Amino acid sequence: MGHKIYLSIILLLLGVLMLTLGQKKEVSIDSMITKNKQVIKISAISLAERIIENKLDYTLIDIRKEKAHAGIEIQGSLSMPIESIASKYKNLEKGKFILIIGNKEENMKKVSIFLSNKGYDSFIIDGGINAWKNKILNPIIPKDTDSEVTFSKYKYIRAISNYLQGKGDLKMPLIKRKRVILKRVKSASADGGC
Amino acid sequence: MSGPLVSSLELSVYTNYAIAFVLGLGFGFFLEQGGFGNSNKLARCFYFKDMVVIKVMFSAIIVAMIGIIFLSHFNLLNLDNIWINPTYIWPGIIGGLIMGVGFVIGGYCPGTGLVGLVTLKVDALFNILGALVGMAITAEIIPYIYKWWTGSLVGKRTTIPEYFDIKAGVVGFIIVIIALLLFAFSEYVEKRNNTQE
Amino acid sequence: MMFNLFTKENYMKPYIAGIGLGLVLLAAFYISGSGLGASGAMMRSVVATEKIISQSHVDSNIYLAKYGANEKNPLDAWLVFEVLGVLIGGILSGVMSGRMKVETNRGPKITNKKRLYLAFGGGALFGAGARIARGCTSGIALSGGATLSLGSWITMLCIFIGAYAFAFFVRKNWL
Repeated sequence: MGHKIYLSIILLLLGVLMLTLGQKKEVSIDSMITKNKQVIKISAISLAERIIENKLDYTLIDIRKEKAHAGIEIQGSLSMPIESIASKYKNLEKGKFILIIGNKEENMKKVSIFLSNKGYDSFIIDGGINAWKNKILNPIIPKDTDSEVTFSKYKYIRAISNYLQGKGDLKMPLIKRKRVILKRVKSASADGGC
Repeated sequence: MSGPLVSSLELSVYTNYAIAFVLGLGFGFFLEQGGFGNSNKLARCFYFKDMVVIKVMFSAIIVAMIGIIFLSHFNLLNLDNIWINPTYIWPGIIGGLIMGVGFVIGGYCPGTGLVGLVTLKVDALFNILGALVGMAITAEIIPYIYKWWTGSLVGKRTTIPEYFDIKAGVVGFIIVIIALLLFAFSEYVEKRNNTQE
Repeated sequence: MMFNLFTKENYMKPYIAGIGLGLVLLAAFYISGSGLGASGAMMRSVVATEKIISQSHVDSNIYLAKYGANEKNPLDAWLVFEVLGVLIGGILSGVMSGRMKVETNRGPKITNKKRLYLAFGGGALFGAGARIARGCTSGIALSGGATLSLGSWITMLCIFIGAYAFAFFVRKNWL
């Protein structure tokens, strides 16, 4: 009987001690470990298509610093610098996909994992802002020696690019392409299960 | 060194598997030491005659729970990197009720059944075989009820503190009190029903 | 001051075993980031067996495919190695305490044969419930309980409610 009393007292003390613990500090995004973690990437072109199609099932967040966001801004993007994510993420609508764009892939990954842990379906834009600049805003003009397919692709992207930059409407016939379907995915956290 | 160590120390998959084995050793050892290899002993819990299930299970849960709460509070354990069971309301309720009935009919659950099996209990063997069959059959049924089975999802990592917006330490305290009451109750019914200690 | 860890029947005293188990559980979270489990490994063995019989069946079943579609090896999982440990740990304990005995545990009022039928049937029921609830008592009650997972506590409660409620109907098997 003795050990039970002894253990009960220790247990009660631990319980009371737990009461005194303050609110848990939010894990900073900087400390997130991305090695061996998968994130889902979608291409800059898929993003462009989504914007044009006016599909409202997503929220695009730009995790660069405010100043950078003011420089090149993607239509409909929400500026949410990476330092502010931990405090502001709760404002994101839970039902929508979260598309993340930034400069460095490492940072985009961290934000994606952070949001996945909080129950959001998040995806990063492959190549980030650079991909957007190089593939959408200033697509490479194909050489005359390039194939017909390359030319068709260029026309397609050029049409999108012009439209997005307000330089024209979508006059060029768009080639039908397979769409990227965003599916609800498993969160990228420690592998577990029972 | 903050946990989980597999992340902070970037341990390899093989190291992790070796660790899994060692942890399993401890798990199996304490289960059998507690007498969980004996189905009759386990089932008697539900007649308030031998409360070993309640005592061992809840002691284990609160020891780990207290550890997790303290470790995470001092940033020694990153909760974002540990597995937290998802919360599906209806599959959780229905599955739980079915498991309860299955437990009291079969006398074992997978963990205890395996321990019974390796200590040569014949009924444990049949229980494990039954469980394998039951799982195989259920796996055939689930695709037909997939929408229901993946519905009623409250969250993939929802915890009680998050859901009710109470500090984890407070939840921990409440659970400790509940556990102490359960333990006291267990001691009382065992004495009353005259089982040996 | 020698404290006896064992009861008169040579079992480890419940609270002591519980603390030991809790420390193992805590170590699992601290080291590997996940809790202990059992039914998942059993499910994976089922899938592994089914893969040998018919890979196409596994591929076409949305539930099984998650474990073993195409090249995926369902046995390549933390849980599987943990359960191997459980088996050996159980043996070690059984040998240490002299409980390695071929026997059928049951209530005094039923026959061995009846007990074995019930064990199988109850096991099948439990297995079904475990896959529906996505875990068994180890994975849900112990591990989910320790992390304060909402779903786990709900399921744990339901397991006990189900068991205590139904116990009345099978009391002749145990008492």
